[in-house]
Amino acid sequence: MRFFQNQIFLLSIFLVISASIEDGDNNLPYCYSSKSKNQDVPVTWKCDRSSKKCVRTITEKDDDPLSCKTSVTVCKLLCDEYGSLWPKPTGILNIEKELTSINVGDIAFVMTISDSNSELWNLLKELQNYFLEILRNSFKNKNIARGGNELKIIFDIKDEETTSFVQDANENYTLTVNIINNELVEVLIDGENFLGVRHAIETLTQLITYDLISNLVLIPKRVFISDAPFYKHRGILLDTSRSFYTVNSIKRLLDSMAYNKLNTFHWHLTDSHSFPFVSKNYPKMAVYGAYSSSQVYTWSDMIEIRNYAKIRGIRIIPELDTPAHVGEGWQFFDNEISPVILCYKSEPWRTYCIEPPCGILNPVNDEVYEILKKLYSEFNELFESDVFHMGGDEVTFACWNESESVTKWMKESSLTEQKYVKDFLTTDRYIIQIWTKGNNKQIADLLNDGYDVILSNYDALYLDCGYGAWIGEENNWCSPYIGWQKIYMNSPEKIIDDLRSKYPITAENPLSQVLGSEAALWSEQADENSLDTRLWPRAAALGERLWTNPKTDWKVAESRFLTQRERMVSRNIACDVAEMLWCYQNEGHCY
Amino acid sequence: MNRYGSRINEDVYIETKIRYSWKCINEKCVKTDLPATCKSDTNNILNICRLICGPYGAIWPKPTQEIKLSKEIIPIHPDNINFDLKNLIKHNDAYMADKLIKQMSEIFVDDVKLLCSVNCLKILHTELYIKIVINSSETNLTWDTDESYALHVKNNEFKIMAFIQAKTVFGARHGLVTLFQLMTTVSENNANYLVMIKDALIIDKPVYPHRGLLIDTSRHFLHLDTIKRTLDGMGHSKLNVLHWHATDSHSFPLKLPRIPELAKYGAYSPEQIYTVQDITDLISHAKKRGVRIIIEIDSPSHAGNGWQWGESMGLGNLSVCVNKNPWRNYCVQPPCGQLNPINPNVYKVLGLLYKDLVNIFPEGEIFHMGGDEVAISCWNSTQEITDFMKKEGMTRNTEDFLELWAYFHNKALHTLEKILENNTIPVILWSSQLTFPESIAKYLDKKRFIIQTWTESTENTSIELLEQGYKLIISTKDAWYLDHGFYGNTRYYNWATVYNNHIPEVSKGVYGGEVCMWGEYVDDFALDARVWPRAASASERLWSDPITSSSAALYRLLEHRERLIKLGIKAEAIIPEWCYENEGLCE
Repeated sequence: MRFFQNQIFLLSIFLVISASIEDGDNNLPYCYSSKSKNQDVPVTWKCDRSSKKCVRTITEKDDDPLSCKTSVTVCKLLCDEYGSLWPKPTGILNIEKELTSINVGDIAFVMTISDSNSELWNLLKELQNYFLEILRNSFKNKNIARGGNELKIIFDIKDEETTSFVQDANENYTLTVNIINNELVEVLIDGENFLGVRHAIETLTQLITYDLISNLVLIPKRVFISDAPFYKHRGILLDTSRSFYTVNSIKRLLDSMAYNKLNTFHWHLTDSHSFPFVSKNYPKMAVYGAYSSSQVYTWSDMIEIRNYAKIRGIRIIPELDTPAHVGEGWQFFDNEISPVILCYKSEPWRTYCIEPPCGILNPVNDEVYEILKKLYSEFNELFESDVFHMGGDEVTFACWNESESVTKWMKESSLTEQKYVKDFLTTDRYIIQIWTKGNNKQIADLLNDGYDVILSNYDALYLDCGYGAWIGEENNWCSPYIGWQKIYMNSPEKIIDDLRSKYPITAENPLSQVLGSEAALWSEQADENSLDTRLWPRAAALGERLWTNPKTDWKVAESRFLTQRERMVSRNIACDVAEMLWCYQNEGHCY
Repeated sequence: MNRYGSRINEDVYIETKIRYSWKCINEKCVKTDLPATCKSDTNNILNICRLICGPYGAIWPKPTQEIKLSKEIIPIHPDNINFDLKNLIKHNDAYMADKLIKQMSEIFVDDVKLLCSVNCLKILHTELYIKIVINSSETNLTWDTDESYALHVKNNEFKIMAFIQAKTVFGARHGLVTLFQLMTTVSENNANYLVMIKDALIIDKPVYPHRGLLIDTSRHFLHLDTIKRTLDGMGHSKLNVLHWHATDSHSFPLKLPRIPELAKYGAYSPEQIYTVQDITDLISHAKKRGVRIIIEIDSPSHAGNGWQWGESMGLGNLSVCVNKNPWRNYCVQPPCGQLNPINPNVYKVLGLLYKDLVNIFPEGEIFHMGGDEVAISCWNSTQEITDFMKKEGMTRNTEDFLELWAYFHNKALHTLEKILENNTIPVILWSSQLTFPESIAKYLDKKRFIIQTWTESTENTSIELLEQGYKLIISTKDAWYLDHGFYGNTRYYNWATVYNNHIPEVSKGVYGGEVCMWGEYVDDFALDARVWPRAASASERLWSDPITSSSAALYRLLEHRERLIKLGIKAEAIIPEWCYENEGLCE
């Protein structure tokens, strides 16, 4: 039996709380009884030590003023061996099972960096706001008891230059929480650069919880976490051509990516359906190609999005889909200057393309390359400057293998286009984004050819699958719907092992060629009304798969995953449901 | 400068209007190849084209009797809408009906304001003058309610007369909804203005009297706002029954005065409950939108959490197998729980529960008593039940358990009857093992039990039950279960499948049908997208029962979806936006 009189005494300064000590099997340091409205339901959560699960329990002695209750959030924070963190840290994890309260109105930040005019300084200021905003959001409409300890957050950053993600950037961090003299909670955040520090702040937000029984905001008294991602490319693709998404909805996407330590926003900006980008060189492409004058992205929109992403440690990879998947917007040239696009809106569409409207660039017209050059250079200016300026030696660009034939075309005949890409993105190699099924031989071939790859195998990562077809009564082509469990289990490592059993893999260290993966939201049947529900919480499963590369099954992660879903909901992300509420409240019973 | 024109800055660009134009050709709105950069004739704007193109314009569901729409539109403004409400019935009873139609009119104006929400411009001082004449004091919506209406819109210089004639307030409200669908907005930079069709004549009435949507607040709690938003969408789609599957084994969110224990033990949290005030509020919100709420207290199966307190209060086991594991042995889905049919206190508690509900709901409202998926294995593993059966001389074979199950329903119905002072109203039950056509007559009286079938479209159950004279509500499982596609081997049914699902005729004994939004994998956030626009698809099947297939309805449905979004409902996208703009090119 343990004795927790001290910290309970500390808390009772602020609240009239009577403490009681549970019997040894289920003891949690915090349980409360009070006669507030919250006590209407005679329920408490108990930690089952062997299964490390929180058990919802009806309290028998409901009318006993001393009967002791623990809220679900507190139970999950303390009972779960990973402190309900998502994604699970990969290094040392030490969370003391004792909580203390903090005063959300009394938070100080200490930054010791050399140049207060630097970009880093500004980013850290933004990061502070980001942190406070999350707290405000999570605790809105909550009745928070007055008082609690001061929270002091101290940043220590070694590399002050790296402020945005480049291909090999270090995202490591350590996070230490200590309580000093029972009055100050000190958080030390130690990162190689801004990216790591940002991730540490993300982790910190997950360690702070609101307890609806005591009305206190609580944090573990002592924590040490060292953490680093397994895969460096952790992305989401959003298609803003089949449906338009407002700047606000894209910002919400970036928020939710940050909550899951996803770091790459692959922006499938254009397609044959619409051209929402207001190019400075060719503004008329949007005049012809946007759905309407309000459904466009101007330079200032894009800069706003880029900066918003940067604070969240997210880089943007814009995709101007070519040579197929062009159409609306490009007819401007045809109508007014010269034919650069073939088969535009050709009918019957099934003969000329895989989905209406058709269109493909005319690869033998030099005008095409002139236009692409200018568009690429705009993208470069808008998005890639960080990568270049911060010394990244690699630039990833787009997914050239929209189809096998296009890849082939790229390799064999389109050196001109390749040349332009090189000119303006100074890349010396291609990274192939693979969207075949996870068991396709093409993956082995590409690895053997020495390509670095990003996996978006559609059987696990196409989040538009499973809905009705948009033509006819059947289901869409990549059905069925993909549950979060499948995404969680879609391990690149395992994909390679499975391929190896069927095909020769000659690459020496094929796993090192897998930069990571991306989940894709194609927008034939989604727009900003269903953006959140399509992506979340499923893409959170990708977050842990890529950050942690867990060796354990999804079942082990389920409880934490559901907690992450609730966490995102409390931050205004309209997540879909992953499991029945009863199952969230009764862990281990829905199997 | 470059070859294709000068570099213009963004501000210049924004001033440049993107405006393709659309022309109504062969009842399709066809997009022209070139964008017009100057202000063009408003009739060429897509949503206006859709408003006037084709015999049904943008009306959803399509009228069944007569429709004539002019191709001309006129700007109006929400501030210039006036009503003249008249009830031909003059006696005191008419007071409630008069009040209701007034509320319905206010909602109409509020919705018009939503339609033209951003900076709504007054282009002309046209007055929309709506005259409504009804001749009934009826304010309870039932299967017998006359929902027909006639709407006549006539333009006279700067005045538009809309004349709605209906038997009941509910018919008149449908007339208002149709009138609303004769309107759309035109966007001008950061402003809007409202236009409507100048002349129209519509005579309309529904094919089926029961046009429903089921929601489930037990698998997940749904916030009041979510339910109200859903009711709003229903009202605009002329769906008229919200089947509220309020309770299940997972949770019991109804906080009722006579037995607060049910919610105390059964709610997920103290915030996740519906008080009497909440329920009353919903019923009233629904009624003003032409929707009745039929509440379901599922029993005897699907009842667990919320019923655990019997023993501690000396009432014995009210529910058995509650949260029992391994669940597969005792129920179809965790958590398990079935009412204890041999405990007389169960009927006493049900009596209190029904009494509360009867007090809350309008007089004569129908109740749904559930009745599906009884796991015989649960009762068979409960000693007090098997002992009782032995004592009564029953065996433990399936037939005797069915007997016990039927005993439960008849006794529960009897309990309700006593509360209603022996008024015999029918109750609704789900189809089940107990309603197999070959044996149903043994267990359930066709005059007292209406069956809601949830069989697949290939099964004959519905037809066979109709032949025996049972009244039915149809929820075709492989077309109208909106929860399918997200778990197990189930398949998602798209709007076209929902639309093309035919059900037996009214004359055969069918009240209508319901699409079902079971709550296992949906809560406040995804509900809109799962339900809409698919529930609207079902509404046209039930209101109009069209002989044409879904393909003839697509562009009207897309306009309806746009309308729902303007009303604040996050309806799912069903087709790329390009296809919405390029009618006929995505087939």
